[in-house]
Amino acid sequence: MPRPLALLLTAVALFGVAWALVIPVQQAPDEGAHIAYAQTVAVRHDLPGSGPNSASTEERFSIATALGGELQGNPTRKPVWSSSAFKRWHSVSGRLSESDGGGPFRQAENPPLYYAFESLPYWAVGGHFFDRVYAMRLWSSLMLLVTTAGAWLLAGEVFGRNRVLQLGAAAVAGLQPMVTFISSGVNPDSMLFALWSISLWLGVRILRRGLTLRDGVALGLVVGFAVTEKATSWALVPAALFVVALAARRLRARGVPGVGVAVAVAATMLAFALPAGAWVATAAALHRPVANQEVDRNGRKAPSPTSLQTLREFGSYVWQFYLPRLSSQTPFFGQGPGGIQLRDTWVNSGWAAFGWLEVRFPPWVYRVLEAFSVLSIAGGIAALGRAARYRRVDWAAVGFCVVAALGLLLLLHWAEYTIVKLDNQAFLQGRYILPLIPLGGLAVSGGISLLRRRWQSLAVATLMAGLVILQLGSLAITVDRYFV
Amino acid sequence: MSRRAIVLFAVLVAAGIGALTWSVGAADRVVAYSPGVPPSHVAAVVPPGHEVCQTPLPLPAPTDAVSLQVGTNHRPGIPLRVIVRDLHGRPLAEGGIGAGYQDGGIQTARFRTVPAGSTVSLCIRDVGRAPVYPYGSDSASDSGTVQDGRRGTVDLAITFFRPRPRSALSLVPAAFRHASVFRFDWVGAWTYWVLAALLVLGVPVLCAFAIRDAERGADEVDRRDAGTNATV
Repeated sequence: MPRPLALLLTAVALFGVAWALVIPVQQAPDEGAHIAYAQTVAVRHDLPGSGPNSASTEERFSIATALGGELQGNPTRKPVWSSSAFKRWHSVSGRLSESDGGGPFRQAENPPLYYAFESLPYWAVGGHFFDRVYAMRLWSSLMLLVTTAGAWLLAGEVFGRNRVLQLGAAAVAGLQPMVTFISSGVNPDSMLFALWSISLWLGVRILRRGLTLRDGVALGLVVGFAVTEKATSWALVPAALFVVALAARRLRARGVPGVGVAVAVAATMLAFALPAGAWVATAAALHRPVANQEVDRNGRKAPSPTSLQTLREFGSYVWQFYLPRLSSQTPFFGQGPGGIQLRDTWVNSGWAAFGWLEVRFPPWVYRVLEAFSVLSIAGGIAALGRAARYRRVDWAAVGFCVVAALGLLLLLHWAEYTIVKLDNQAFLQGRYILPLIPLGGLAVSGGISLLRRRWQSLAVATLMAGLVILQLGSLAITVDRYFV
Repeated sequence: MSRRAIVLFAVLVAAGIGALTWSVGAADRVVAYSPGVPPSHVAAVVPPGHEVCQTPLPLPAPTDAVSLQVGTNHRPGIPLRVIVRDLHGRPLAEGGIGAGYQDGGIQTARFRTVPAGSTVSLCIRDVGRAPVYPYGSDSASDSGTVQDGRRGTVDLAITFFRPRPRSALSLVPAAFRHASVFRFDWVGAWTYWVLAALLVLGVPVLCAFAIRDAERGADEVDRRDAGTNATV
């Protein structure tokens, strides 16, 4: 392993451990539900949905005792953190049932891969409830290393073995505070980030180097596992198909015999179908949805993509998410005058909104992060433009990244549009676009690549200093929120 | 070149940590404890001569004042006694809110310092001639109201204050103690001190070496590329 990557991974791992141990139980997004799912897999050897309670007595009692009530949406409330309460809880914890959960809850429709992964430390560590929860967190934070390594490898494909630019891209992926925060909780997004990071690398690698049996199988497997990990990953499938189709065409153009091309393509498809098909078959056998489904409720019908009027309204919603509303457009729920969600959701809560979104920096910090985000995207586009001028752009690789990004955004926006129509409730949070963090790293390093060679390492040093300080600041405001 | 990058990194990180430490040191913390109940609506109707209590309330820090929001139904403020009792009902400290305050305004009662570690009830007694209406909400709290012997599900919106503001920096040892509860059994405050040291000292060193080694690697690639006239 290259030394700069090994050193960066060590630093990233330290932040992962810190986040895992600092955040109180259930104060990472939806963590209570994800713990309940993992416990159902580990203890009941089943998927949730048919059990008597959504969470076990052990989980409900333990979390209620630790937090002393609900903290979500109540930033002024702090638990007392009494060690005598912990001792009292400890004395009864062995009598609490860990097997009477497994009932239905929203996240119970998630595919099972992540929870099976989390059941390993659950079994291995044993002990009391908090032993198992924090072991699952630390185990989950290992995915952060995969995410970081994937970004390093992706940057290697794009910039060659330029260690400075690789380090910059990987540092963005590994030290971005929301990525660390989410990856260090019990949350399937940690594995989602990792699988997307590796998929993006493999896709670009295949397009740059050509489709080989090994790389094709690897891409197929990773994307296949990704869709059994979180339904969001179905957004990767069109991008992966794009890679396979284009790579096959290039092989034919290079004169590779049709049989060889067919074998490589078939192996890729088969590698995808093995995990994905296994999950589809299992879901069908258990009468479960393959992906999370929004059903008609509240007397309202779930919108259909086949309706022209729905598509027009969906288009108007997406417009208002990113841009000021036009006078001809009807205001859409939660979008205000239009254009505010791009900043508030994608940028601000994508960078730093911890706990249940209530642990935040002062506003000026977000202005700095907005400026940095704009500068990074502009730098990435400028780098692409310069490379295009010298005819050094592999447009297929660019197309793959664009298809993956647009696929994710389309899926997320359709999910929010559906939930707003059914529940009048906003859905999107900044963390949902973090599977694209390796592309963020590429954009940052692309911008840095525009500098003269001697300035590049100074820019990466500045970038890494900023990320380290942002991490420390994020941990400081989190400690302040819960423990001071 | 690598030395310049490392020096720049070290200066920026040191400045950043200095700024963070300064901001944490400058931030005063005045709240001793709040059950975190928002004052969404009237939580109780307290007739003259009666009282409503919020109990139990653990006090992790010493306190000598409490604020609450009280409605008077458009009347001038009605005088109140605010009594801190132990869980056996014995008064530990007592203060008052004088008549004439604004309807629905936030009022603060001061009293003798109650030490940290006590678990108490806070009682509001109407000593005027018309009912008062303390605000609160039905929060999922581990505490509740008691009025005339009856338990209520609605909680009072109250906040206890420290006798003297403390800087957030001075509360770090307590914060690390709090953070170690409801974790692995082997985790203690020491774990967070070690982690803090690793993050503040170890991570910058790791990153500095990563930058140095990356630059050396890039130099080697440059030399190799120059030799083979390759392009990226």
